[in-house]
Amino acid sequence: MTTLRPILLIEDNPNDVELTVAALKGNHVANEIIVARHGGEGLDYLYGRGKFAERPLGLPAVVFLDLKMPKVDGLDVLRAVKQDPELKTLPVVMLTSSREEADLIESYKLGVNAYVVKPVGFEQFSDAIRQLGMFWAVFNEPPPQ
Amino acid sequence: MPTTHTPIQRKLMVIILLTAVTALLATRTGFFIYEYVTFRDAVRRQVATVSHVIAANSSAALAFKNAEDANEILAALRAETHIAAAALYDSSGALFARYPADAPNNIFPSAPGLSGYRFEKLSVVGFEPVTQGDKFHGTLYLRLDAGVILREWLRDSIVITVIVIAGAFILAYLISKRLQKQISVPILALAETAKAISLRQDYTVRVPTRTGDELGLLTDAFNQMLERIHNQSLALQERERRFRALIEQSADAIAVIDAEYNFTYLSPSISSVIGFSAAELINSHSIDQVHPDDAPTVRDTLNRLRTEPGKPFRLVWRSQHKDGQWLWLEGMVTNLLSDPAVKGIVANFRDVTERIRAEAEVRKLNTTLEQRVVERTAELESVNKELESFSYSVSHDLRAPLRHITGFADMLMNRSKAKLDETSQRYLDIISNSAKQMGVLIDDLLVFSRMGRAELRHTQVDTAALVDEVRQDLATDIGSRRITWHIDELPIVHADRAMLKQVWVNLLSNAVKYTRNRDEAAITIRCRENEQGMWEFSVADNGAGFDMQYAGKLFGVFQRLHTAEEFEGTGVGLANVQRIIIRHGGRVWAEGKVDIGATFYFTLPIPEKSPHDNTKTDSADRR
Repeated sequence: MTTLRPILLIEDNPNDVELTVAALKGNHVANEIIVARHGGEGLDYLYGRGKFAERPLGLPAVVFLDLKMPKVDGLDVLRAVKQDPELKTLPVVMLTSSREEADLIESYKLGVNAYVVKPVGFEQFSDAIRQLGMFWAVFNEPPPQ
Repeated sequence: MPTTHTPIQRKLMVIILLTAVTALLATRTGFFIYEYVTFRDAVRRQVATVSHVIAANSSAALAFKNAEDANEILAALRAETHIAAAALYDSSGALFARYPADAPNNIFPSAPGLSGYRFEKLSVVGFEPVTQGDKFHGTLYLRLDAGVILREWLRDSIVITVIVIAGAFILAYLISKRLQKQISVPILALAETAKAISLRQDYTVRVPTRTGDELGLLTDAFNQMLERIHNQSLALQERERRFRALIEQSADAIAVIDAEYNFTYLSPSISSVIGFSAAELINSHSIDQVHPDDAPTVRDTLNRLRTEPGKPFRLVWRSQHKDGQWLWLEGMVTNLLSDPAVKGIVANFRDVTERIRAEAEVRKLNTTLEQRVVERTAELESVNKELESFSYSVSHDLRAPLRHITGFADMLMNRSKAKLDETSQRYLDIISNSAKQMGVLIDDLLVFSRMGRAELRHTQVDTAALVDEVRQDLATDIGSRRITWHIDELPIVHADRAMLKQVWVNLLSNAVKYTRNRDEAAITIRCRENEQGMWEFSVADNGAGFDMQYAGKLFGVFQRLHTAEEFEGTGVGLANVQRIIIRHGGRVWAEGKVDIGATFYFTLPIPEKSPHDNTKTDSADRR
């Protein structure tokens, strides 16, 4: 592996985007972070369409996906990814505030690779993000392109 | 002749008289025959005597062939009025003389016959040889007409017979009239008594015994029979009275109907049931008393029970009370038509209007209740849905800003720590800690709400293993503290493992938390089967304890008996414990004393005995 693949963060809340990015950068995760502000934009990136029509080819190392978003929500995105034969090997991590059982069950049924409840404390949050970033973006060997 | 209807007195009399007369007649007949034979003999002898005399007298006339003398001698027979004819034949057999003198020749035999006399019809006829010494001179013929003598004799004989029989008859009548009383009087007395009894049904009458013979025995037997009948009828009456009292005092009305369904009997209690008296209804048609809507059913049932004698059928129908009100009646109807003692269909029934009304009321209430339950369930379901979406938003939307507060406060601290004075730094810490505290509160609340809503997933849970697991989870809280654990042998229970773990986590973490000021902490976990047949677990510690007057507050949400400075906590843990245990069908309570310690108890139902329940057998011995 010569170049680090990017991390796709699909998150509608700018505060969470900023905290997540800060946590990743603060923990020296070097991968490029691509932010999609809602589910539709996330799918646009994955399919290289809309505002991402010109992006270079290739899939991200991992998708950090917020569950609750307006219009196309996290579960919709997950469903689209896991039902697409091209995309279904792509690791998707649910990053959410909700510990709702229904969401957990639904996510795992759809084939989520990990489900993480964001801790309230920043230290714990930062720690969780660091570990996720290191694991999925650095140590984990992604499926071949 | 006596017939079967003739009174016994006359029968006896007739029998006696007939016997007497018959005997007399038989005697008289024998006598008569004897007399007749004697009489004939006498007549013949008389004729022989006369002929002997005449023959002796006429021997000379015959010897001398003197016809004049011979006729004269024969004419002397005139004195003998019964001599009808006489003749003398000479030795050659020719007619020599005759009597009467003018009699024609043809009344005499043409020649003399054998000597001797005999009866010829009503005459005695005979010949007598006329001899003198050894010399035969001729033959005498004599004919006596016996008819007149015989008639006279017969008349006398009949007269005597009649007189004797009449006399005997009268005598026999008089004697029998006296004697037959000895037999007929006791029999008549019996007959009279029997007649009186059958007329008056009075079995106390007795026939006086007069004789010691068979009639006396008969009378005694009759009296004994009467005695027995009297006793039996008394017993029967007693029984009848008892049954009648049972029937008539019964609150149930009892009716008997015949094969045409007409009332043949109604107990007096009928009037207390439907107002009509028994007399008003007797002989009326029973179906007429039934509500038109119920009549077909009642008729069907009656027709059906006709085919199954002796089997009781339950019947509910409406009848109109005398005051016009419709009543619900319920009863058992039995076909006893073939029972000779009843010969009817028997129904015992009672007024069940109140009950039917109450039942209808209950049914109506039930329907309303069911409706209400359905509505409430729907309402609850919608409320539950709202709650779910509420807790979802709480979980997602409330935690996000908290995370932002702590996140940015921490980042601010990292960036500007050098530029901020101590107070400002402390303020930032407070902001961050408060936000974290709120996060914990929200998490606990969400757990609490989930405990109430989540479905129970029952499995066999090994309590001992579960307690071990919880103790290991608590290891970091315990750290280097010295805690002495006493743990009973613990059973396998039927419960939702995740929820039951919450219970043990809360109880054990509380025990650990509230004993942390003790140098020597002791936590005891016990289990027993209580009097209600449930597992009763207890967790006792020697920690801070609590004042029993606040025991009621222990299990309320956000209720705390200690300040956050003394012991941290959100006041949700024990509320969770209570919620989980109640959902499992158990009960939870606590006992405590300030600075001595607290004991928390909870119960769980023991399922029907299964192979898994045999783990806890010797806990009682260990205690």
